[in-house]
Formats: sequence, C-alpha cells, structure tokens
Amino acid sequence: MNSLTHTEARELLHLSLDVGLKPSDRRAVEAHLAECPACAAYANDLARLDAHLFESMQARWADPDLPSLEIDRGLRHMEVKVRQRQARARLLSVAQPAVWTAGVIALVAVLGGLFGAIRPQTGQQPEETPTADAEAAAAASETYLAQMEATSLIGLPTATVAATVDPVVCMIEVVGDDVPLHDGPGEEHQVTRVIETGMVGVVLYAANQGSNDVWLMVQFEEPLNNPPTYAGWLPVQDVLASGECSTVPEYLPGDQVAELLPTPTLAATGTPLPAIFEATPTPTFDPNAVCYVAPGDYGPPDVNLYSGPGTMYEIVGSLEIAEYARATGIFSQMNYSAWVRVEHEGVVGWVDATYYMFDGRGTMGCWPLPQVNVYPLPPTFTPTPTLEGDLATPTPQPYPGLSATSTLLPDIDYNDVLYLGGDVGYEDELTRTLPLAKGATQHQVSVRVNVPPGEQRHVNVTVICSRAESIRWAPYEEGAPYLVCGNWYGRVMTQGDNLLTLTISLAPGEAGPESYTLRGSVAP
Amino acid sequence: MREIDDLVRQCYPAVLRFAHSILDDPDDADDAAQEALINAVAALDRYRGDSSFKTWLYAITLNTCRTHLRKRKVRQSVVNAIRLIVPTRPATPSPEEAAAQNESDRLLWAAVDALDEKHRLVVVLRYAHDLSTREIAEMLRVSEGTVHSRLHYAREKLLKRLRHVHPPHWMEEATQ
Repeated sequence: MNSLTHTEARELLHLSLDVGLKPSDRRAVEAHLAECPACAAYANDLARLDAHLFESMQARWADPDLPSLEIDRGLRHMEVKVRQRQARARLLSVAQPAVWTAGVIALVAVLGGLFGAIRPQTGQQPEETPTADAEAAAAASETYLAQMEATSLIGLPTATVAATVDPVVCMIEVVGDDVPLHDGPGEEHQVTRVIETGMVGVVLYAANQGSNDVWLMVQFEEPLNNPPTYAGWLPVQDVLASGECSTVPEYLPGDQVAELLPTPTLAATGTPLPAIFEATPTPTFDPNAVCYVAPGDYGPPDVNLYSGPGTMYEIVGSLEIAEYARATGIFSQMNYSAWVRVEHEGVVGWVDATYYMFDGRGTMGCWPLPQVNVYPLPPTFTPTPTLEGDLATPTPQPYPGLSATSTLLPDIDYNDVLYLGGDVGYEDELTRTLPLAKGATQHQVSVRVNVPPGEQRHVNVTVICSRAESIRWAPYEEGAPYLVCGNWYGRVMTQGDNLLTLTISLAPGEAGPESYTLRGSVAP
Repeated sequence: MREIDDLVRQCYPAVLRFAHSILDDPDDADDAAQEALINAVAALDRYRGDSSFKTWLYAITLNTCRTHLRKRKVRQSVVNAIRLIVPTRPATPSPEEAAAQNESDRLLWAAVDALDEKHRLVVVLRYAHDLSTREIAEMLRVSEGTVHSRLHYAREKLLKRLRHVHPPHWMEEATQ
C-alpha cells in the first residue's frame, strides 16, 4: 500500500542520496513513484542533479598540483604569520608557548605515515610518551621559536601596542551557531544583533543572575561594520573564555553601561525612531566612487523600489530589466540578504540585490558601498482573520507537553513576519534565531499574505529547524496540527490581508537559541 | 623544523583546495590555508581521535575560512550577486571557468554560487569533497538532520534555478 504523500516521498528521495533508506522506506518510495509520474520525473531530475554535482564540483576544484617552490613560498608566509601571532599573544599576556611545544611533540607522534592515509592510527594520542624523534622535533621546534624570537616583531611596534593594549584582558570566543546579542543581561532583553560562531570579543562586565545564569557584556570589533565597535550581553554558556577573567568587574543593576550599547532598540524605550535610522557612511568610502545597479535577466528580480529595505515597505517606483540606477548604500543582514539603496529619477528607494547586476564606475566601483544601518519600523496594518467556511477553521487543540507556566513572548517582533504579498508564484523565506528564554517554551512567527479583494490564495509554508520540539499552525488545511521539527510542510487557503501565525516550541527545560527557516509561497 | 616542513608539504595541497572551495578566491584561500595549518599544528595536542583526522583538519580549515568570510561579510552579498552577472565578470576566464567542461558545468556552478552561504557550504562539502552528512555535521557542529535539511533545500533551489534559466542538457533530455 502506498501511504506516502508527495512531500514525504520527495523528502525520502533526498535522504536516499545522502544516507540511503531503510528497506521499508525504499519500498514505499518505489510504490509512490510507480503511481505518481510527477514525483518519478522529480526523482529522475534529482538523481541527475546529484550525479552532475558530484562530477562537476569535484572537477571545479581539482587537487592543486603545487610545485615545490610554491609550497616553499607558503612556508615562508607561515613563518611570518607565526611571528605575528606570537607577538600579539605576548602582548596580550595569553601566549602559551607550551602549546607549541606540545603541538610539535604530538605532531611527531602522528607523523609516521599520517598523511599517507590522512588518518592517524587508532589509539595514537598526542599525550603518549614522546619518542626519541619527538624529543628531537621538540628541540628543533625550540630552535625554530628561538629564531623567530630573534626577529623583530613584524608589523607590531611593541611600545605603541603595549601602550594601548591592556595586558590583562578577558577574551571570549563565541561558540554555537548564531548567538543572539542582548541589550541587557537576560533573555528578556532585546536582541540587538546575532553573533556568529568564532567571533572574538573582550569581556567588560559579568552579571550573575543567580542559579548559574551568568551573563557577560562583551565588546566586539568589526572594522568593516558600521559601527565598527559594539557591545552587548551573551550568556556564559555560549562562549569560551581565555585570558585573565577573574578580575572582570561585576555588573550591578543601575550601572551606567548603556553608552557602550550603540544600537538603538524599538521595544526597550517605546520611543518611535525615525522610519530609517542611518549611520554615518564609513569613512573609507571614496566619495568619487559610483556604483549602478539594475535588475538582471538571470533570475526573477523584484523590480520594485521600496521605501525601506524589505518588501513590507511601500512601493515607491520600479525599474526595467537592465535599467541602471545609482546605488548609494547597502543594508546587509548577515549573509542572508542585501538591500541596496538607490536613486532613480529623483526617487530614493531600496531594491533587493539578490538578482541585481552591479556596475562599478569610477575609482572604486561598487566596493565598498557604505553600509547603512536600518531599523525598520513595523508596517501599519491590522490583521483581519478571514478564513472561511470550507476553508480551514482554527480549532483550539490541547497542546501536548506544554506546561501551564509556559509563556509566549509578549509582543510580535515584526522581524519575525514573512511577507508574501498576494501574487501567485511569489515565494520568499526568512531565517531567524529564536531568543528563547529559560522557562519560555514557545515563540511565534507569522506569515503575512495580502490577497486582492474578491480573490483567494493557497499559502504553502515550510519550516526547517533544528531543535524545536513541535510546530503548531492553527489554521492548517494539510499537515498535522503538531509537527515534529524538521522539514515540515503546511498549506492553507486565505483571503484578504491575513496574518497566519505559527507557534514553535522547544522541549521543556531547554533554552534557546534555536535557528529556523520559514519558507512560504503563494499558489492559486 | 624538518617535521613541520614535511607536515605542511603533505597537507598544503589538500588544505588549499578545501579553502579555495569555501572562499572561492585563490588569494584568500592561500592565506586561509596557511593560517589553518598553523592553527592545526598548535592544536594537535587537543586532537582526541574521536573524528577522522581529515574531518578534524578540515574543521579547523573551515573555521579559519569562516573568519575570512566574516572579514568580507559586508560585501558578501554584493559579491554573490556580482558573480551572477556577465557584465561584471572578468574579461579573461578564471582557471575554474577555463576548466569548465561545458556550459552545463558553468550553469551549475553559477547556481551553486547563488545559494546563500550556509547552503552553498553544505553543497561544497558534500559534493566537492565527498564528505558524508555525519562528517559535515561534525565540522559545522550542527545535527545531522540540519545537514539533511540544508542539502534538501539547496538541491531544491538548484533544480528550480536550473529549470528557470537554461536547463542543462540532462534536464532537457529528461523533459523530452
């Protein structure tokens, strides 16, 4: 019996490419494909894509056949980098030369045939007693280090740097994917930005909220960002600390540290910001540079000019394919999207740069465009629940695993709304990290659809997440009401200007952050 | 000294190829590969043997590459967009382009490059380096399910994009 839906069959097809399928799943997929020509064609395309990817991508970056001279050059550069690194470490008082010695000893322990198979033999551990070779290598390493120390500190004039760098600092490295940075010590505070794994910062304060809930106020520097220096609060479990961290001052409520948090927030003050808050262009921007952008003919560009960086803003104009407009700034949200501010026929608007062509004219062209920090205000609209009759009706359902004390985050963050408009075929996606506090198990995200009067549309929604226990979409038409985290698909008919809300829940006892991707499309 | 030389000489090509595939820039890749090898030597005493050495070394290289990516984060989206555009392509083909076996490869590579970073990354790790989803999950420190989701999404996107533009020969054959 074929019991798979099309979506399930296609998910299993993808899975089969990567890990294979259980016999029962394989039989179910084969049965489905035998009955569904569309899925069979899809399977065929997918298999060919898979084969093409393997063949073509491996050819794209073929193993470099490096001449010995080229590797010698690499070695020389590495020596320079080691010297620079040592100098920096020395200045920060966190250098641990023993690590190098231990590293070299370990290196020798695994060198025997290691890179023949690029895998050490089982049980070979760096902690094992060094061999005679290892001792010889350690001696060689000491010589190597001594040679480097005899060299001047490349690019780091000691006196100048020592005068400006506090030798006793507590530094942290952010671990975990996309950690939210808060404007106060606790999950209840506003998230001002997301910090990527591996970012390194200096700890300014520590706040102990009790029950091992310790938060650190960390300052980060990113020269290419605007502002280049910013600070915020992270929970201690999201970082690895190094350096002198025992003397970090404790933060007490009322301490004046707000000036170190340059990012304005909407919710904290309740004070409306101007519609667009623009930071000063980066000083490195060459005023003579000219950059033009135009909708390309490669993908399906959104040719509209919006009053702000997002499709939720008002449309103020449009461009033709290959019609260039002058770019004056860029708003980039992590790696997800980039909106470019343009001037076109006297109108200033924003375009989604995904499928746009860039044409640099002038001394520096399109790089760097000045980064514009934009804090979008929520669009003004009133959600009108218009699900009707034979369409899906929201039905209150008991919610398994949800404790009576669970609380929803109080307000809808309009950054968590995926706006799809009402055009058939339109699709978009939204990726966010949920700042779930301890004790709070749910977060709401919404899909907004604006269907022309008298018409109706199907909305397809997919949620991809990693740790959520379940996803609930009340006005569902297809798909289970409670959904296990993964690649979930739901579909609903809607009319008018409607806000469809999904509730994402973590398992009790877990705390955020949880990353998810919400994808939606509009169908007839 | 000799051992360090030997290690670098043996690993350099593989690490360089890996970095090149992540950064898609030969100069950046050279820089990142050198830093990654320095990091690996410094961290060898922390290698516990609970993942293959290849995965461990690639994970270090990947982290180093991510630092490079962060440095150019502001321009990343622009670069991605620019890659798609013929007028801003360099006048002479890159070695990769020269190595393209046919138009079909070029289209596929352009489509892969148009993916956002996290989806492009899993595609490159899976297909260019033939890593298993478990190895990718270890390197990215995410669950295997997340890797599956990202691969699923990426392949969907590639299929859609390739159909939308100029179907490669195998897709045309399939539709005939």
